[in-house]
Amino acid sequence: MNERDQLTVLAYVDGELTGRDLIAAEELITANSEAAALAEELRMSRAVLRTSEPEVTLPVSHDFYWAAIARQIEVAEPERVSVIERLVQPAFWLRYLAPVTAVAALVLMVSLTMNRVPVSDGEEMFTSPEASAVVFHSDEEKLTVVWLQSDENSDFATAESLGNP
Amino acid sequence: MIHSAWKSGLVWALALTWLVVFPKAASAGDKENADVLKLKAQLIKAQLIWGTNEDKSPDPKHRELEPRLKKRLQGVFKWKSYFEVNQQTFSVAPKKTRKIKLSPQCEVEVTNLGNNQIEAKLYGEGEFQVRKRQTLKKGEIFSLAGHAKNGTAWFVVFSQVED
Repeated sequence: MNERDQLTVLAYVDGELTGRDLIAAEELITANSEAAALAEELRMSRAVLRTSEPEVTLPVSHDFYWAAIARQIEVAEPERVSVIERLVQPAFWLRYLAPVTAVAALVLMVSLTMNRVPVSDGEEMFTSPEASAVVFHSDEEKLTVVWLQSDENSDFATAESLGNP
Repeated sequence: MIHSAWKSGLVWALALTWLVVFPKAASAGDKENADVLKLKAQLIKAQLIWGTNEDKSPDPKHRELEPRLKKRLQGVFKWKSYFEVNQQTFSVAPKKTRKIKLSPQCEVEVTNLGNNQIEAKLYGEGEFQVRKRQTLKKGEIFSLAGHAKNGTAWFVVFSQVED
C-alpha cells in the first residue's frame, strides 16, 4: 500500500470523502487487507481517544467561572494612576525636569560666557558683571596688563585707603 | 591532581608577588610625583603699587618703587611716580592656590597651573572682580590695574622670583 492509499484510508475514516472518492476508498478497503487493517486501527485509535479523554467539570456555574477569569484579567491590567499619584512619582518629575534642567544649564552657560573677554593670546579672562576689562601687552617692557574699568576698586592703593589724608 | 596543585601554587605566588611589589612601586611613584611637584612650585612676587603724578606719597609707609620696575611702568603708563604700598613673595605648589592680602581692600588669589602658567583672581573688598590666566615667564610681569581717586592708579604686579 502506497502513501496515497494510506491517505485515502485516513480521509475515509475521518468521513471526509464523498461521491466517487468514497466509493473508491470502500473498494480499496474491501480489496486490500492491509488497507482494511489500517482503517480498523484508525477507528480503534479514534474510539480510544474519545473514551479516554478526561472530562472536566466546573465546580461553579459556567457564567460565574468566566466572570472570575474576566476579573483576573482586569486586575492584571496596569492600574490607572490618578493625577495626584502621578505627581508624586519621581519618574514623572524626571521626565519633565530633565529637559528643564538642560535648558537651564544652557542659559547658565550662555550667561557665564557673556562676561568672558576673549584675549589675543588665547588665555581666558572673566570679570564680575559690574566690571569690564581690557588687556594689553607691551613687548618692549615685557608687560601684560589687565585694565579694570570699574570704580569699585579705586581705593585699593590710595593713601586714603590706608587711613591717611 | 598534580596539575591543580601547580595551578593553585602559581596563583598564590602571583598574589604574594603583587602584595610585596605593588606597595613599593606605588610609594616610589608617589615620591617621584612629589619630587616633580616640588620642583615645579612657583615663587611669585605680588606688589600693590600706586601710580600718581605727585613726587611724594602722602603715606610715609609707601616706598619708592625699585627703579627698573618703575621705568617699565613709566614706559607704558602716563603716571610719573610709582609707590609700593605692599609686596609679598610666596610659593605656590602646582595645582595649588594661595590667597594673599595686599591691602585692607585688595586680595589676590594665585593658582599655579603648571608650565609657568598662573591664574590670578582679584577681590575688591571681598568681592570677585577679575580672573585671568597668564603665562608668567621669568623677566616678564603681569599686572591687574585700574583707576584710583584723583587721577591716580593702582597696580597689582605679579612676577616670578629667581630661586
